[in-house]
Amino acid sequence: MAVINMRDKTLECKLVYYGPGRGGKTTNLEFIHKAGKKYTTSDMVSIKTKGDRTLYFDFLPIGIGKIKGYDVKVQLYTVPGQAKYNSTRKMVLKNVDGIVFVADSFKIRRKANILSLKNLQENLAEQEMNIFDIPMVIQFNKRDLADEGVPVMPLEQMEKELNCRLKAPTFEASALRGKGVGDSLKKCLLLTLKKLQKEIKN
Amino acid sequence: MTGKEQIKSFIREAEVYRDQGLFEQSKQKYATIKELVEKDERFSKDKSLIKFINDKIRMVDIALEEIETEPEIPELDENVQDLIGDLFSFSRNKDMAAIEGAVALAKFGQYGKALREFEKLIDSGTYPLVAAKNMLRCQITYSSPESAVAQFKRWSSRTVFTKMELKHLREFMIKLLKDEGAAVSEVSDSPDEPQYEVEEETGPNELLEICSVVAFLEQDIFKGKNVNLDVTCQIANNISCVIGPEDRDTIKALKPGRRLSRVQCFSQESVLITSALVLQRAKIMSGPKKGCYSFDLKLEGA
Repeated sequence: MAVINMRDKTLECKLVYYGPGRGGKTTNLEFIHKAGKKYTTSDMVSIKTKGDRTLYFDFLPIGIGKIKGYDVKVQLYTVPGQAKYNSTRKMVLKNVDGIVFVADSFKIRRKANILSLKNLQENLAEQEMNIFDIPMVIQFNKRDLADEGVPVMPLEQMEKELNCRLKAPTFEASALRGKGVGDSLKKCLLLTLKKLQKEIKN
Repeated sequence: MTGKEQIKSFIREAEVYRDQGLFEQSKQKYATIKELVEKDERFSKDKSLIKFINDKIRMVDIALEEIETEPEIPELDENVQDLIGDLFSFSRNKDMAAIEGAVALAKFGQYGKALREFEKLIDSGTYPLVAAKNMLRCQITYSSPESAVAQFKRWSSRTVFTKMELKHLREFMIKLLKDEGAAVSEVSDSPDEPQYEVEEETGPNELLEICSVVAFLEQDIFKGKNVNLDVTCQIANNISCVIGPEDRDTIKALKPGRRLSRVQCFSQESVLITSALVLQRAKIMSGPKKGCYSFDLKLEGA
């Protein structure tokens, strides 16, 4: 849940990058960290295994300046994608305000995407949050790797399988090259801030 | 696509998977390539090709083995442990946040640090029962039942907890030990049994902690304006707020007995709109907030 301090005029919210293991969540944060140095308030923290897999989470705090007089700070997290780390994912999801779901476009990761999205729905439900209510965008990552001869799923198939009920905004991406990273983040932030504004008004 | 082109394409694909850290998938692809090569007379005698594929499979196997043999829960750097404690404690109440931080460390497998933090909390009298229970849970789950029993015995020989509290902790530990299927005989012979039940401290998950409130003042000079107040203390539905001496109008307006018909209460989890009654107004006479005014409000229907 976002922290709004009316006296100091600050707003702090939490966005979590979710998705199957090796799908590019950490790469998204690494690109944001590199590209948006002026927005980052401190270093990115990555807790990885030797094999470069996220063990607990990545954390990157950024400041996006003032919106309607409020100094907006955003905490970006990733979760570990591997199935065995579900308790860690639940911890990281606590008090989440918005989600960027990073789906892997590789054909061989079709099932992993679906299972991860289902897992997100279950973990949100445990926190009494509804996947259909939370601000969320879906990123179809690794689109560029089709050029390297790797079979990737057509966008229509990914839309149908992951987004036919959610109707979340979707973005094609190549996180390694930075393509689609900024757009996904911006849209998720926009949806999150809109929802917060609505909640405050009510 | 010729057979050669297909093999080349599959190798490229397997290498991309390997680069991406998808080792299982890479291995599967190389296995497919091997099968293809072995079945096709044009390639089955090409020793260098078969060696190349076998080497690649071996490399992927090494990567997979490294992952499998890696410690599940590494001891993290002290700075990262501190960060975990900070990031995963959500209460504004300092004491409650300290408990949450230590619980988070335990959940992230940083048991040594978590135990030290719980010990500190017990020593400083910060939710000592909650800290002690978590400490026992930590030891039973991640260390050994014996270490929990030894810890309990150390508490029993000191004056950290009252007899009532020790009884409560013992019962809690026995339940945990039973759940884990461990022997409980060492702790089941009870010392002097107290005649009454210990009052439970409220754990971090059981309290709706209010961080700040916005009171809407309809009368006086405010005429519908609102006042932001930071909550300094909360006991059940009673909250205390402090207002600086310069804010004379607000101090004057919040007189004891006044009912505030609309108060927005902000907690980490929700925003609650309710009414409140001003119970007390007092000038702080000493300490860092000397000269400020303290207000006690009772939240109605919270």
